Amino acid sequence: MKRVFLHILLIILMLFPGSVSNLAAATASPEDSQVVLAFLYNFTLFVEWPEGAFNSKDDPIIIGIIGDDPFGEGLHSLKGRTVNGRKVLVNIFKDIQDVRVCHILFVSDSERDRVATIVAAFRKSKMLLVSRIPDFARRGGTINFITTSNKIGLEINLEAAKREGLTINSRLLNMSKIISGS
Amino acid sequence: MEKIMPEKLNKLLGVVFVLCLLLSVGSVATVLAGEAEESAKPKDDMLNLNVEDLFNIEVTSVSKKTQKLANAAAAVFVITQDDIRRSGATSIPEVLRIVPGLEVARINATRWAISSRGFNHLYANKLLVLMDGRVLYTPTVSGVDWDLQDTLLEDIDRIEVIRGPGATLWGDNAVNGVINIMTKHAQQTQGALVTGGAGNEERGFGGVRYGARVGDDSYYRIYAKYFNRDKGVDSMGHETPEQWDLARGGFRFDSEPARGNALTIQGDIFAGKAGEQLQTVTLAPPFTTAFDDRRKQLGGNILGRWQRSNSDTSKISLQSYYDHNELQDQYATERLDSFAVEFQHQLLIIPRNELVWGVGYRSAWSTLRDELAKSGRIPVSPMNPVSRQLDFYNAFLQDEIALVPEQLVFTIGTKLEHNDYTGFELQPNVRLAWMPSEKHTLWGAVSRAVRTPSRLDSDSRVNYAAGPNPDPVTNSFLPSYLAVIFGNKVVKAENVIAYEAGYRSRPLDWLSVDISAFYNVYKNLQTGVDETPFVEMSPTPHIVVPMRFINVNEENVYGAEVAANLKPVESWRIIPGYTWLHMQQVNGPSMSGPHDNPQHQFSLRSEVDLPYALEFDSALYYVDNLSSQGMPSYVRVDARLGWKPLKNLELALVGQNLFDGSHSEFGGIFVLPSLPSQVERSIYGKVTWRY
Repeated sequence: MKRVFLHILLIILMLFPGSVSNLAAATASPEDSQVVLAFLYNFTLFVEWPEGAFNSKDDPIIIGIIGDDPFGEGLHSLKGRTVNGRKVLVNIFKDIQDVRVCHILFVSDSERDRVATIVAAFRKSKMLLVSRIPDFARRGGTINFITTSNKIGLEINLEAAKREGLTINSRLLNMSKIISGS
Repeated sequence: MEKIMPEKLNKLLGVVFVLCLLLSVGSVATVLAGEAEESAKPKDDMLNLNVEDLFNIEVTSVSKKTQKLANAAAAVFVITQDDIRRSGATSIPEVLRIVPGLEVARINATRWAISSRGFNHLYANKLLVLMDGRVLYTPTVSGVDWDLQDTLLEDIDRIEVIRGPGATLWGDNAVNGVINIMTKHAQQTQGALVTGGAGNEERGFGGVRYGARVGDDSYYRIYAKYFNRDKGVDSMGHETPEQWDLARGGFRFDSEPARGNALTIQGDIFAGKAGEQLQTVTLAPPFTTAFDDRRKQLGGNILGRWQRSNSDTSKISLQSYYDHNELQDQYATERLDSFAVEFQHQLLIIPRNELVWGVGYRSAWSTLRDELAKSGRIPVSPMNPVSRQLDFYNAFLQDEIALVPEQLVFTIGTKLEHNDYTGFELQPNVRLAWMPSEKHTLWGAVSRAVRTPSRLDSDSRVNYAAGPNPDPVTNSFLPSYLAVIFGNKVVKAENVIAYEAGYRSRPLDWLSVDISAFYNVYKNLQTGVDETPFVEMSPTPHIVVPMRFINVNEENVYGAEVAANLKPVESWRIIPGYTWLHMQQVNGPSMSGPHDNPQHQFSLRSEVDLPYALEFDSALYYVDNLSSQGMPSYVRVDARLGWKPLKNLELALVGQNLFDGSHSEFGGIFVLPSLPSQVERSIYGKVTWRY
């Protein structure tokens, strides 16, 4: 009986790998999460961090993600990139408690119910708080993404940026909507 | 060692199996490697665009990956790390109390009975439990030794609880449910954590964890923990000897050696001593005797997993582990060594099909050596043979088909498993989920699942009772009888056909509701059949009144579970839950009485965020009586006050079972290796510091 079973297994195993390549032909239309990731990468170029945000000249720039990771495999495209001599690294955190030092903190959609807690927890942490959650900047975050007619835009809370000691390049500000909030 | 298969043939087949497994992995990997290179390019290009261009890119809608749970065609409940922290629980079984639809009963200070949808017992044999993919269910007695399962609770990412059959994807014995405990990726546990506390029941506990990065893509953590718990108290108010010390340590290493490849290596070791009160039968009055003992617990495991993915369309995973457990007390010395290797391939056939298939092999070497006969006492459940190797092979295939994309999803799949006792077992399921809008999911499922026989069913001889011989003719030279249940070498697999339906909804932003109902038809349930009494001469002459395990029973079980999540204001979360269960015997009494399970269970939890970084959490549990055990219903109230005076510091004061000095939750059914005791009021303080 076992022999029969193993034969069946062998047949399954031999059949599948061959067909895999045909089945997995992927489509590659850009998802908004990919564009968001590209924006996060650009922020490392257009934002200046205050004194003390980095310990040394070659300290990496760390992009943190709190909550469910919306980028998945896309994160690999950041691998090996450097900005002004600093490596770009990504850290994913499930809970507030886990969050370690980072320079950009992306607050995932899954944290919708915890915006106030997160914003309060990282006040004056020298981090750039970014999210896709609506009104995130109005509620004390620094930048949130908005989608209008299939294009992505930014809302930036300059008071929050100032509070964290962050300087945002005017080239980015010119294309964004400036809002005020707590 | 007795083997069911001739050893040589078995080994040969094992080698062939592993070989073909490796072959398949190899070929899949090569195929995927080619694709990974190709599909990576457009994403890289995106990063090279200047910021002006980014504002002008047209995008498609947000991917729905994280929505999966809300749309699952099964009764699923997820415990998050935050739930664990705010529950105030100090062990995994106690954390599980918060899950509506689970029955969690503490038998004594070191043992738990946990099941879903009925059939609860110390060795609840219809619930599969896994930790990071490692099976915690023991094939020696069918069930989970909850006293051996633990980790640093702060390192748990989430616990997924699936009520109802999950055999197709998760494996055998997932008849009534699956509990899947998942620890965090090492990247999420960076830095130092020190926690410790003490109280009246939790006499002292502490844990340390340190995590760091090695190179750009590798992370590790190491941890150690220790606890010392207080003795128990029995229903008469007498102290029981269940003082418990246990130390545990472990590590997890996560790395991405190359794009799309993830490697995980993790392991734990533990050693402990748990006090217990053992009971055994005697052939002279009073025919039963109890004595204090300390059970030695020892174990360790090591697991490796390699995952390879190509964007979101295809994922493969290869996992292998080795697990060793040892228990020793005056009853018996028990050892269990398990080895498993599993391969899984997940494939998204855009846009409509998501296919998962896999193969697996698991081997368990089980030894149970009786220690009582040496000292002339009657053994409790000796096994013949003392050791046995059990092999399990499986293959599964499941396809999720979006009949109407994002609205109507049909799932069909089956597992084919081979075990040494009953040969091939087929465990298919079909599921349908309908999402009329993003806020509502209606689902239904029909599945078959089996409980694989264990050594208790085939090899054991359970000496469960003794008394004076009532027969006036023979009682002068055979003064006593011994009641015995014998294992059956021709066991059958208990099985269920389960019909389930459910509705999940988030009608308002601050309210979500999850309702599920089921009707389970069980066949081949185990019971005992009387056999002809005979005379046994050792240790003193007596009559044996024998029964033999037999799989002839049928039972219908139905019930419903309701869970809700309310957030009237951002700082207040309320979580009510209700469970209704009805077990109906179709023919004759089964081994587990129909009322070993509460008919009604109700829970109400509340989590409040207060000013000054304070948290106040409370929970109320009502559990109906267990009439066949004469166990009354009980109400339990837990509360926790947490305070974070600094970002890195958390203080908590926890009270459990606050309004009740002590109460019983389970006991009184036969063949408990250790005697039940009561759950007492517990108050403890805890400090957690992170850096």
